[in-house]
Amino acid sequence: MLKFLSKRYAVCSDEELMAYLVKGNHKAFEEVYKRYAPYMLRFFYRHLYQDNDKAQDFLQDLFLKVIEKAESYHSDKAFKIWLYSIASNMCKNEYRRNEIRGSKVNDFDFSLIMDDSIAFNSQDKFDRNLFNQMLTQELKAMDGVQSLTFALRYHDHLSVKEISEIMECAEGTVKSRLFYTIKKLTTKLDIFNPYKEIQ
Amino acid sequence: MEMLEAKLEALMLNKAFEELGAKERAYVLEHITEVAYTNYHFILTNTVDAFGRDEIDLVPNPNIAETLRERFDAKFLPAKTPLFSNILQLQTLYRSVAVLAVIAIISSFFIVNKISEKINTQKQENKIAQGTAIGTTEKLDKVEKSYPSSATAKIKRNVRIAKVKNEKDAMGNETNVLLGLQVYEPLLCLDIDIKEEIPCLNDETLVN
Repeated sequence: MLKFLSKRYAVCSDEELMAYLVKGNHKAFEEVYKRYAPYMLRFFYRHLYQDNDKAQDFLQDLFLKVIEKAESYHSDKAFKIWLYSIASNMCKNEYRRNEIRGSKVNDFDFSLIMDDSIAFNSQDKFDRNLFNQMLTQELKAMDGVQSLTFALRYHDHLSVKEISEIMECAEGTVKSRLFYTIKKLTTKLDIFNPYKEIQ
Repeated sequence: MEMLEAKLEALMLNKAFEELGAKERAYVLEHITEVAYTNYHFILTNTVDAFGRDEIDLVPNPNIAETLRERFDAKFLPAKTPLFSNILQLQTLYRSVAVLAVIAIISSFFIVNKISEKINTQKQENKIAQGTAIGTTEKLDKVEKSYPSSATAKIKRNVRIAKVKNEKDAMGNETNVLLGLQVYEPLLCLDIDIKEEIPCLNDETLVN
C-alpha cells in the first residue's frame, strides 16, 4: 500500500546506489550486495584454489572494504571496475602470501572425476569434467596475474578495456596476457584436442 | 609482442577454421597458422563452455550479511539516537506507519490544545460578563466589556473629574490664552497636576 514511499533501488544504477550508500543508506548497500555477492563469491572461489570457506571469507572482506572505502569511490569510474579492482588486488595479495609461505596448489583429485564418470556412464561427461579439472589446475599453476586476466575475460565476460582498468595496465598488455595464456593452455591441454594429430 | 586482437578473438570464439569466409581466412592467416587457429579455437570454446558450467550453486553465507550490517551501522549510524536508528531499521511499510502515527500524535496534540484554549476563553468571557453585571442593568458592548465599572470605580472617576474641573477653574481662561493653549476637554480619568506638568503656570509675573 505504501510502496510509493520507498525508493525502488532495484532500478537504480550501481553508481546511484553508491551515492545513497555513502549517505548511510543500508537499503542501497543491500541492493549492491544482492547484485554482486554471488558473482564475487564465484570469482574468489575460482581464483582462490576452489576453497569455499576462503571464498566466503574473502567475499565478506571485500564488502567490508566497500563499506570502509565507500567515500573513496568516484562515479567517473564504473562501480563494477572498482569492485573487481579491489577483489583482484585481494587475490594478488593472497598469491604473494602463498609464495612467501611456499604453499602448493591442491593436488588433482582424479577420484572425483572417475566417480562422476561411473555414476553417469557417459564418455562426454567424463571428458568435460576432466577438461574442467585440468583447466582449473593449469590456471592455478600459472602466474596469478595471467590466470586472473584470463578468467576476467572468459568467465566474467569483461571487456579488454575494463580489464586494463582493473589490472591498471595497458590494453595491449591485457591482449598479450590473453594470447600467452591461450597458447600455454593449448600446449598443456593438448591431450583433449582432437585436432592435435594434424599439428 | 603477440597480442590477441579483438577481431581474431571474436572469430576464434565463434567459428571453426572451416566455417570462415574467404576474407576472414585471409585475415586469420595474416596473424596465425591454420593449425594454431584450430587449436586456439578448441581451447577457447571449451574453456568458455567449462566456465559456463562452472556456475555451481555457491551461495553467500547468511552470516556475512549480518556482519556487514553491523559494520555498516557502526560506521554510518553512531551519532543517531537508538530510537532513530530503530526507526531506520524498520521495514519500509512499518516505517511509513510509524511516521503516520507520529504525525497523528502531533496533530491531535495541537487539536486538544486549541480546544482547551477555546474553553478557557469562553470561561474568561463568562467571568467578565458576570463581573460587569454588578449594580447595573445596562448592556455593554464588546469594547466596554474590558473596562470594569463597579460602583467604587465610578466614585473614584467622579472624584477625579471634579478635581480636574477645579484645577481648570483655578487656572482661568486667561492663562490658557496667554500660553497659547486651548483646552477643549478636561483630561478625564487622568490624575494629572497641570501646574506640576507646566511649571511656568506658578509664575505670577507671567499672569500679571
